[in-house]
Amino acid sequence: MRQRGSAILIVLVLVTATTLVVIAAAELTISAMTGQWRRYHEVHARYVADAAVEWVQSSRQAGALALPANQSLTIDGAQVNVVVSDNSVSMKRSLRVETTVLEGDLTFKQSRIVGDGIEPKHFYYVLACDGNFRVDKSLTTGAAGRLGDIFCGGNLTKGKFQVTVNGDLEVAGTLSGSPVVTGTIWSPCPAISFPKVKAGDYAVGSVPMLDGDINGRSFTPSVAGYETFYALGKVNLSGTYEGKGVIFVAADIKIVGDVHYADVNSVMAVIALKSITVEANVTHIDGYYFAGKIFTSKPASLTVGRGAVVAEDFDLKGALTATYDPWVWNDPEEGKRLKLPGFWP
Amino acid sequence: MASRAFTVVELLLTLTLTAILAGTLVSLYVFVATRAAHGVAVNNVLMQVREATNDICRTIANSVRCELVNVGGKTALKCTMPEQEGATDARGNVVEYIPKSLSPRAIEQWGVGKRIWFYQADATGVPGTTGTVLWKAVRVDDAVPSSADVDRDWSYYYGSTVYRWNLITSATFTVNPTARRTSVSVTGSVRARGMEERGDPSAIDTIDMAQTYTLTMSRESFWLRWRK
Repeated sequence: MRQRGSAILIVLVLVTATTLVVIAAAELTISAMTGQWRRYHEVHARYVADAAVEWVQSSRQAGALALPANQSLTIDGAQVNVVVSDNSVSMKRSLRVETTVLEGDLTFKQSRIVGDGIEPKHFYYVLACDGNFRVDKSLTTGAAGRLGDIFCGGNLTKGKFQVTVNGDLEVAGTLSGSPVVTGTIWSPCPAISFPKVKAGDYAVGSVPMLDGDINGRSFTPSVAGYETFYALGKVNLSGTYEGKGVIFVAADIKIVGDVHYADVNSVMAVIALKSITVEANVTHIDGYYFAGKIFTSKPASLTVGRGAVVAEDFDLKGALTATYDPWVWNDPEEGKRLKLPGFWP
Repeated sequence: MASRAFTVVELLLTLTLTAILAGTLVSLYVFVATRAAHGVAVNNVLMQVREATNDICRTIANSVRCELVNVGGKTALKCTMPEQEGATDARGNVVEYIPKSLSPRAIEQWGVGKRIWFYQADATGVPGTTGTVLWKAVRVDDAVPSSADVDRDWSYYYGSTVYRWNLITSATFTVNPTARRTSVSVTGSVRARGMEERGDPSAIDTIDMAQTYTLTMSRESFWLRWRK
């Protein structure tokens, strides 16, 4: 009998060894690819969820999305389910947006609290101006990282004094200098059109007032537009103000003494068709102030205790500390009742 | 038919063939095992580099801002996180943050929360010291972390002294505050040898098949609210 060779054994061993190498290589490759695939979809899902949130905000701003909402969208090829609910109990004017993104065989869920898309207005800032703003004195707005947002429609230049903004600093032009900003510096940001004020609008239904001194006032309660006092000529303002109301002056206003609210429920709008000048002896003013021209602060140190100041231009001759009153931000209807420019008419 | 014994030639031939076959099989086995070991080692360095990069990028993506801090000539990445923390993952890392308030344009304002640092230092974890240990430290203010601020569970396996990032040799960062993004570059290196599976970054090996594999993963991550 002839002896046969063992070629089949050698072939089997070689095939087995080759298979082991191929399997090992394939497993490593698949593992690496799977990891990268998951990572890609995770990142993509995050941006898809961001896009869904932006869709919600723009839809709300356009008035095209009622709450609560449950929508299915396709964004960049991914299926997204968006559930939107009102979150204003926890945070005024906020939404809870829950997104579920289907990416391949994977599901990514995300929940975010975002702002309800709103139209920006000057009286949503503690200080807002239309022109350039040169800060040559010490300026502090807000406290503890909030209630100190500033908007400048032109260029903002910081001088040598300390400028601390507890909140966001938005400048439509260029920002020079390095203020301390706890929030975000946004420059250049989209402009906000400065409201045009017409004296005739305020004359209707208002209480005529003599020019001269106004030293405190008690406003008569009203559910609709708050009681409005109207003066044609220059007015000197000071004293304590109680209730909710409006003082409109179709000329300049001088603040000759401290202006205080009588209590925590008092809210007042002081609107000057032209300029507002705070005299040097004043240390404290409360209220929402609007100057169609210049707001000048002469005191060495002035505090806006609870309110906001909007003017075409600022001229700060001394230090200023200002804290925003979120009353109209929380409820824009109050801005209408206070006849604030930009909200009313 | 009468049978007869092997001749010397047949015996020698058989022995030679058997030796060649055995030698081939042994070489093949060594080759396969070594390649597999190298593959596992490469995979290990890839996993470490990827996991560290993912952790750092996740922190950056949730941060309000990032900056580079020079401590004793060494560069560290400091990420300022939002003030209000939300959901956490299984490791206790915060994965969701809640805005503190809304801006006049109803954009989320996050406040200022913890500062999370990433840097390389020696085994003490003190920034500014020389070493390749990759550390994460957490503080509630802007001061430079001390060894007490180090998150040891991030660098070492829970409750142990086994270093988690033993194959990572460097981690570098660049920050672009204008674009509100941070780049991370993590490099890992492994010297795979023979049939040692895990790999060792500093092994001295005389086997011809020993080889060093170096892998760098670079990624850019945007900060929180990178689009206004």
